[in-house]
Amino acid sequence: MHLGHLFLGMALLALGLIGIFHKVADQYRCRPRAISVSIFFWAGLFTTVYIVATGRAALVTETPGMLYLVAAVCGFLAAAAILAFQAGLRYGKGKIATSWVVINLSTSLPTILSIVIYKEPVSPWKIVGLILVVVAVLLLWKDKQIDEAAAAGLAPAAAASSSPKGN
Amino acid sequence: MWLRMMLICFVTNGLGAFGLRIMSGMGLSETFKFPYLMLWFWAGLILSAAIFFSKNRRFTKQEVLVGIGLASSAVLGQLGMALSLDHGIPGFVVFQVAPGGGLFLVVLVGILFFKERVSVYGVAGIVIGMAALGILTFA
Repeated sequence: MHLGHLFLGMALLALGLIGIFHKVADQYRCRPRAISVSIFFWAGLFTTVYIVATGRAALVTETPGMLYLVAAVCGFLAAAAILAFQAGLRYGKGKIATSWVVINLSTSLPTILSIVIYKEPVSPWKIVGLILVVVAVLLLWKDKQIDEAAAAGLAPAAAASSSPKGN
Repeated sequence: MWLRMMLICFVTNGLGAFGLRIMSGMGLSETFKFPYLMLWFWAGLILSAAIFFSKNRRFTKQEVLVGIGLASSAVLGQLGMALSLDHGIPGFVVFQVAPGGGLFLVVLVGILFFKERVSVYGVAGIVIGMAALGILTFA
């Protein structure tokens, strides 16, 4: 095992921890808006420290203006994604096992845009992959509907059992 | 409501990640990857802060700590992938194993540790979703 594998293991664990921390945030009833601010503040700070510590600070001023614009727009969109994800977890009974799959499947969108905008070649396998993304999202939605039906079935029963007889 | 929120998340997260492809298309990825990430995070903070501070003033201890955990994980994840590429691990391995393994880890922890109940449809969705990501990575 060489150093590259160690870094790969670190990346795998870190990317997994992102999902697990989202679940922890939901468990502690953290507010989506507060979590979003907290993530972007600390991540911005850590990245800035890394850039300065590795002697790349000058690169920031050399960054083309167009890239500033792209980063700003995409950063805004990412913030909206985190807000929606945290809010969605609340409605989804906090199920990270299925919700996290949806956020990962969103990587199919850049694939579609790359095909449309950059005219990247479309292989039959890519089409199969994109169709499977839709199928997976529909199945996860069905799973959510089953949860809601179960909750709706339990709610009247719970209400009936808690109400006094004769009422 | 879950589906609506997840669809918003699906679209905004996907579009947010497309910036990396635009940067690559401009031929700037090698040099400006980390400055881009820094600007991306600070831009996200501007929107988040504008929304949060319009109605709130204070954070709870948990919100700060979970934020630090999430931010550290996000930065370490990006750094780990960049460094493993620098140390000779092929891109197709890195971009498959790190996000795919991370996803598998989250699903496993959700079901085994947090005792989340997933129906047959949910399990099928997870398996097909993982297969789709694998195919899109290799295709």
